[in-house]
Amino acid sequence: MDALGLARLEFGITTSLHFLFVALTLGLAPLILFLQTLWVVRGNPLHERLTKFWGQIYIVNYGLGIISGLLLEFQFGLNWSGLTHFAGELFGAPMAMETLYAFFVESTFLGLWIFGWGRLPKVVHLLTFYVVALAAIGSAYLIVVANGFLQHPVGYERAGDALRVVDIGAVFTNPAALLAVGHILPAALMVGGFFMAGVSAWHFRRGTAEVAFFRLSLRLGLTVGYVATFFTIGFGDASVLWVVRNQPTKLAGGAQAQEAAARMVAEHGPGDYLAPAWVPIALTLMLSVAYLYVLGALVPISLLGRGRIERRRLLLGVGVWTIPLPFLTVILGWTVREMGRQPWVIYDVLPTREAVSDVSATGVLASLVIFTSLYVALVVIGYTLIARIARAGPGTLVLGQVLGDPDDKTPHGAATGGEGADDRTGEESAAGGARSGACQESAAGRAPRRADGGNAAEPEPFREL
Amino acid sequence: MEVVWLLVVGLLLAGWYALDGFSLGAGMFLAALKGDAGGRRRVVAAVGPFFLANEVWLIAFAGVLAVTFPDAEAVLFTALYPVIVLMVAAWLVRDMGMWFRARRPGTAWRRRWETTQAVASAAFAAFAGLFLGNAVREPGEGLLWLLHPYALVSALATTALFGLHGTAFVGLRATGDLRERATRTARRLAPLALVLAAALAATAPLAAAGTPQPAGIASPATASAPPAVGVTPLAVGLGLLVPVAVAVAWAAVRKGRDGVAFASTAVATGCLPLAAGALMAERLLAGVAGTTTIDQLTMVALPILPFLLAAQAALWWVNRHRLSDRTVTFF
Repeated sequence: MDALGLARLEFGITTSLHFLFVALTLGLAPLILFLQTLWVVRGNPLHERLTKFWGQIYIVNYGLGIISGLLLEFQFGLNWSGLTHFAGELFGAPMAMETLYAFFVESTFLGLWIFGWGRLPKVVHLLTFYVVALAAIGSAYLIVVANGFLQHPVGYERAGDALRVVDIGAVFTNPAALLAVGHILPAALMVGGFFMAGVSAWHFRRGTAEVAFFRLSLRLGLTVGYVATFFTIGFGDASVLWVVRNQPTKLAGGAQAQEAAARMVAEHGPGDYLAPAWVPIALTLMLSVAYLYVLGALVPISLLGRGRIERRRLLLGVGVWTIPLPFLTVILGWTVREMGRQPWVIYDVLPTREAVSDVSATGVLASLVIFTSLYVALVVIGYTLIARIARAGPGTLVLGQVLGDPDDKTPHGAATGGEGADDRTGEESAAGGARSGACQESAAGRAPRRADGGNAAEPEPFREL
Repeated sequence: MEVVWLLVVGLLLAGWYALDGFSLGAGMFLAALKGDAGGRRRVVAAVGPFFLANEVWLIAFAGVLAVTFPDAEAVLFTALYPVIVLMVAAWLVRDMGMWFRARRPGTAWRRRWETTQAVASAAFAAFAGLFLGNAVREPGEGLLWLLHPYALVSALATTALFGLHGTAFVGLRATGDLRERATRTARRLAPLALVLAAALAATAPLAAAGTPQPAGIASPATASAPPAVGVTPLAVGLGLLVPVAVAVAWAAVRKGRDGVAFASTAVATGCLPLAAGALMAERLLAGVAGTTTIDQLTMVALPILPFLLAAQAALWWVNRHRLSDRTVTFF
């Protein structure tokens, strides 16, 4: 493979894996915001524990998103300097704005949220998360504006060997961007909502004692995920209609596509200007999944009342095993969008091969190997940890813990089997084993005492129930 | 306006050096705390609240550089491709160490990620130094070109300075035994950092001399550019400020004045990219974006900067206390 192929492969792998984390971040943020607002308004400790439990999953996932996103900002400079040079003003500007307006703000305020627990006044603390959530949406919007320009270049003119902005308003209201934001945000809510519902279903299958806790989570997740499905489909269909009219070669086939391809040959020289033939198949697959949710999710929703669903083991199992489905589908969606754009980096303006940097294939191969291995490690370890935290349930809440709390000298890992056993004395292990049996009762009993902000120096000793 | 953006880009990178520099230094310091799991936990707790807000500076730098000085960026990134790849890889690993460390109980798991973080922090610091040391030189090719003596001195000096900066930070935030250990390490590191900082300033002419002027790089704009490396008085001043600040920090550490020590190491680390930027200012300005880009960006991106600085200040205010039993932990 040449430098172009390798650079494309590297970009595809790293952005897809990055987006896995982004989707959950975007989807969970509004749900957590809702829970924390409930807590601040009503003062019910259950809502505080919900905020902390889903919040710590959110934060770990956010961290994975950061780590997998670090490379992306550099990747354009490394592998795609042709794009930066040619369209820096149109593509680079929203990217740069994303780093300042969104990522910078988001990270700083998330730091305030994590470490302001129990330190900041409750309302101020809640407001920091509002900023985090808004910045996350702003981030999605600005990135999609940059991507939207690649899909459907507007508001520019040619100036020598580069492009220049003539209408900044058109760039930021590009239909290719707005339709995509309208599609991506509810799709992320599907990911977040069905994730929340799936994790809750897992706990009900295990006969959790935290019934009120996971009942609210299940209802919130299912409802939000289900409602979001309709918006996802609506904006998705609108996008398809728009693509058919504006990017005829994307969903290849038909006279219109052949016509457009012939025109491109005439204007830009010979080449295959039709997107790969499997793109429409992938699109169909994505749509099928969405309709599957429209129909399938009706069953658990109809059983939500009076907790009837909580005893249906098979149905709960389906909820657990379909957690990955929305994740895979959003990746499929990006693949349709990005592969369908080929062979263009800026549709009908700049071919991808002209955007690739003047670097050796060996160099790109080395970076591909390094980063792919790191990303695979990140995804595997990251999801293992998220699954662990999700399974551990609200018995182990680390958000708002203070230095004075016992660390891993507590029976923290008591129920996790052999791992880490070498670190504890036999006495401590025994104590942990004895106490973990009592944890279900005590977890419920503990809740009211934590109403004051939860920073009491009591141990948070319980792992898996 | 170009000069304003040159300053913004410089300040973003200087911000990263002065802020993430202590995250990295504290990360390296973890390796010095063998057999003291509690101490390592407190070091991570000391850095924790600032960690997220520190590393964003480098992302912001990369994003803004790409759009304001696209041609200069393209030349830099092509010439320094392997260094940047390794630097970002070390960055990923450092972050994995920080994020994964506390997510499972058990000292074995934690020790593994602490070691990972320490090694990756040192590597990240060294590659950042290698990046800056080579960035000021005339762009060349090949792996050997990257191992120029000046770049190597820069890598060593950056690592030592970050190490000093990190221990000064731990000295400022910790109490009791940990504070003493950090101060002791800082006292030992200071002379080494001073020698390397002085060597960096002394060898700067090496980077300028002996490299023939290539005939126009990448874009026609640079062909008519003035000589790329001009040792301007500003660069000399900033370059000399580094060892001076290190000397001040050394004296402050000896007197137990934690605040002055940390402020001085922050100045020293922050001056590294500023001196380099002053050295290569003309080359950067030759690779600036078109005036419309600069004007657009001035309108839409400049107004956010005061807000960003205020948010960072708020973060420092909330976490201004030394570590105590009530310090919130997460990492």
